[in-house]
Amino acid sequence: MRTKFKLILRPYIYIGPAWLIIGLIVFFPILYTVIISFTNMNIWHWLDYSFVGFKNYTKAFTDLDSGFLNALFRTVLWTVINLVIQIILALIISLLLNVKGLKGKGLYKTLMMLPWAMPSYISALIWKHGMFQNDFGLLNQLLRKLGLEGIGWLNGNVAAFLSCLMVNLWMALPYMILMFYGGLQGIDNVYYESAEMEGANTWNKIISITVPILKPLVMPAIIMTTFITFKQFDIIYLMTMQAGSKTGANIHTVITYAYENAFITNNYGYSSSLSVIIFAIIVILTVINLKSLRKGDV
Amino acid sequence: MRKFSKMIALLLVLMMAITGCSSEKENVKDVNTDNTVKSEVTEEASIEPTKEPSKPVELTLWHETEDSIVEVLKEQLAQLEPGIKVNIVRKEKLTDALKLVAGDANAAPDLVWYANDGIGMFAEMGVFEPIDDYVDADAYSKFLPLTQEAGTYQGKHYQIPAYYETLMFMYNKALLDKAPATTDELLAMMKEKTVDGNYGFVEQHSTAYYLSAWIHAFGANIINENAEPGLDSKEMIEAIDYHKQFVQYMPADGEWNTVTTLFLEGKAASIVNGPWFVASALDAGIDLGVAPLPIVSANNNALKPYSGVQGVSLVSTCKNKEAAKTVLNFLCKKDFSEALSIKNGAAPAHSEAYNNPEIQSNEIIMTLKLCAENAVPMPNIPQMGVMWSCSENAFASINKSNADTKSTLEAAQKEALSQIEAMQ
Amino acid sequence: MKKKLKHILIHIILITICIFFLVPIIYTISVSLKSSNTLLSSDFKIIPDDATLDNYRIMLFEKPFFTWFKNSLLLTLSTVMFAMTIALPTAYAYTRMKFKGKSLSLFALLLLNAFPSILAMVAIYRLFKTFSMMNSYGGLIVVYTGGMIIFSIWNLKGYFESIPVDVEQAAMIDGANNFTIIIKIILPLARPAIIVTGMMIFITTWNEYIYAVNFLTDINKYTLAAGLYSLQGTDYTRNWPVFAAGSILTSIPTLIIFFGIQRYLVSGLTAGGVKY
Repeated sequence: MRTKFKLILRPYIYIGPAWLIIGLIVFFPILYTVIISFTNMNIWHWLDYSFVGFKNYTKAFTDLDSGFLNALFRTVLWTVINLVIQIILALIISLLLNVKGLKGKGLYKTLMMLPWAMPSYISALIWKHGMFQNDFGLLNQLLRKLGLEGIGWLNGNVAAFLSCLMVNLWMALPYMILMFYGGLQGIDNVYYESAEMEGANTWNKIISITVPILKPLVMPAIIMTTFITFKQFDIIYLMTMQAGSKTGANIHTVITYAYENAFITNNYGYSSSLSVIIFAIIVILTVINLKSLRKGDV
Repeated sequence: MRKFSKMIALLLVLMMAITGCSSEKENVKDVNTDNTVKSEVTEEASIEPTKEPSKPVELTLWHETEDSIVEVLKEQLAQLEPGIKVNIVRKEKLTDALKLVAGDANAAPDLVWYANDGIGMFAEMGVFEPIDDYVDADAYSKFLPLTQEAGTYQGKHYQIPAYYETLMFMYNKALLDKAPATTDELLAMMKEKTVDGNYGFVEQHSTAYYLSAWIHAFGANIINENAEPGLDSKEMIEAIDYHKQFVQYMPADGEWNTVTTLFLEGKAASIVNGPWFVASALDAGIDLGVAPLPIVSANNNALKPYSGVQGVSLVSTCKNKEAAKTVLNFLCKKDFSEALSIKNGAAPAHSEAYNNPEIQSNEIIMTLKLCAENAVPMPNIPQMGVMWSCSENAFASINKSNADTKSTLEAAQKEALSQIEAMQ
Repeated sequence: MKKKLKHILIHIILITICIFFLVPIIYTISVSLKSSNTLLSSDFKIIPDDATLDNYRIMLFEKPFFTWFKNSLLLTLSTVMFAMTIALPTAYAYTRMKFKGKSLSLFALLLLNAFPSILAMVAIYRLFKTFSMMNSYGGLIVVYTGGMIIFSIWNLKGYFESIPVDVEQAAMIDGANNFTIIIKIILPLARPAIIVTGMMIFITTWNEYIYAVNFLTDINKYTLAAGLYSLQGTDYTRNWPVFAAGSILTSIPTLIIFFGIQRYLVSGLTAGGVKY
């Protein structure tokens, strides 16, 4: 009897500490945000805020100006494009790195990890001021040396979007490459050898062997990256929206939008309600996606 | 059994981590008072048992400024020892930190070194307390009117000003003989000298702080004392349009790094900047000339930039208001302003400091004084916080992406109004 | 011959990609060698005309670099150990064990991660204040673990699932208990995932400055990332070359570690594990 009890208890003991920490660090702030979203915490009521019911939410919905919807659309676009490119590039690069007998793999891999090693805050600043800068940025200087005109990398909306995309790829690819490469290691050569004997070429091998086996291995990485990309704040904010060096582009994502509301207007109550609304949208989107994924699987 | 010991190990690690290195009390607060501290804002000085001479009262001052200023602060405030010891602590992300510790007497500092534009926000939050009850009115009146005004919010004073800064016209004497007196002269000079990657004049043309000079010259303002933004007023549109003619002759990216690099490399003959830039210019070997900003030829008004005033403010949760009072009154003397100015080249806020011959002979400081007569103190009302963003988005669009002035400003005005409303 | 050609082509592609990754880093190094305090110059050279190692000297000897380094090392390694100790059993449980609430809590793990917690700092600040966890490394370890745990669990779980159950079942038949199975069989097989997860935790913690700056009030406790942030002052007072030098120095430990763990990235599965 005792062993049976132990057996039932065991999983909970294993997952207990993790959930304790999650409760403190992840769940509690969410709870806090939800509570604050029902108050009027702002500059005039910083310490003495009171409950105001759904006032913030009604305001958010009536205020659902094109700003928020634009930001939402742009965020989804940003996430999808980023992920598609990242998956394709990571797959190609890791396959190349995996080629038998290739020399210098260790060196390549280390060099490719460099963007990951630099603190992202600094990288963003260097990209913005050192690379994209209109007059003296490295990229424009190179263009001019080639006789072309400099580009306003961060000025127009589309240009800024693409530039931020480039920076995000720069920062995110190392991880994806690593994950894909690690996953490739888990594929036994036996499969490839037998496929070759049946006359499969490289393309076939990739499609029928590599991708299916790789999928479950890299799925967590992809899911995590999806959420991280969706919530990506640093790059877009630091590149185009920092006070004092605005670039004239308006490429708000939902998170920069919510941030501006929270920290520029200091209206924590209102921005909390925005956070909750954004979360609700994400949940709905996720559930829909999962349902369709499951259907697809069957 | 192994499982069990593993569980214990886990729990131990957990507990170790949570208690961790013991958390020290963040600021050594005043050692004397041990009466219970009320966390509400109290206007009167806290009651204090007789001070024992052996235990100094300790106050904490937070700042996020440069070392040279901190040195002067330390030097000056050392004179108050051993009775009162002021711990001068650098706090990164000072604004956020103050918001976090609001209302918490144990975590919050007693005094803060801050710019005048944050006063409104912190006053409303209850973080700053007016100094009127603590400071001798006579002593305070000796500060320059501009600096007194800068620290006033809703009729009360919240800051002991130390120095102020505003924008000047700086030029490279090797490339430009004398500063243009009017904007027509400036434009002519720019047309002549802006060629082949060299510029006659550069400025941060899309930043509200720098653009304010042009805006005020036309009688417009970004926001007035009644918290009404004026982004789409006739005067504002006029100012931005007028300014646009100058933008053509400047680099597209009117941003700090660009314009300063150009000037420091000798590729720009002149620049608008503040006293903080002087050291870099001199280090780069530039033969620097300073002058007040030109006068707008179109309407004969001087360019009137914003001026920022830095000083010390009192935090409402300070437990030892008596000691704070002493410190504040001490800072009202001219010595502090004077010492700062001599060490730093900043313009002192105290009028008597200008009697000092060393200060009188400093060309930059005297030019600043001249400029101050035409400067507008940066608005300290909380609503100003949202204006930076809206106005700069508009300016950047107009100057960098060639958007239509009127419609962009009207859209910005709408956004400003909705953001101000969103603050409520 | 054809193989050689193929290899050369691959090398060209990989080198191009590396250049893309390297350019900003080279730029940073170039700035760190400058003797004048500017970020830009109208004429960019990889090694500036007035190149100097002075900035590195300032960074290493005039700033409390080694204190920061020691602090970062302590904090980061503790976090990695603590987080892995907690994440491993959790991932294992979710992979192999059946229990009530398993799929629901798994789903919750995913979703909780998605909340835009802009006010997280404020909430955690209040929490920590109540439990006197401010200004302590313990507090930061908990925060950082909390931030990375969901990711770690998913990462490890994904890899665990690819380990065929046969191995464990064979061991169980041989009489090994659960604990032994995890330590002796699963861990070695899951080595790549553990390394990658550990690496991820390391990098994130090593470079994290926001919580460090806000929660550590004692300047002697500052980590490298926090110290670096404090160097940058404002737009006006930033010393770019020193800041750049600091950035490079901060990145080096990460690279050394990565280079060192390269060979452990080989999967235990193909290295003589079970074949289907």
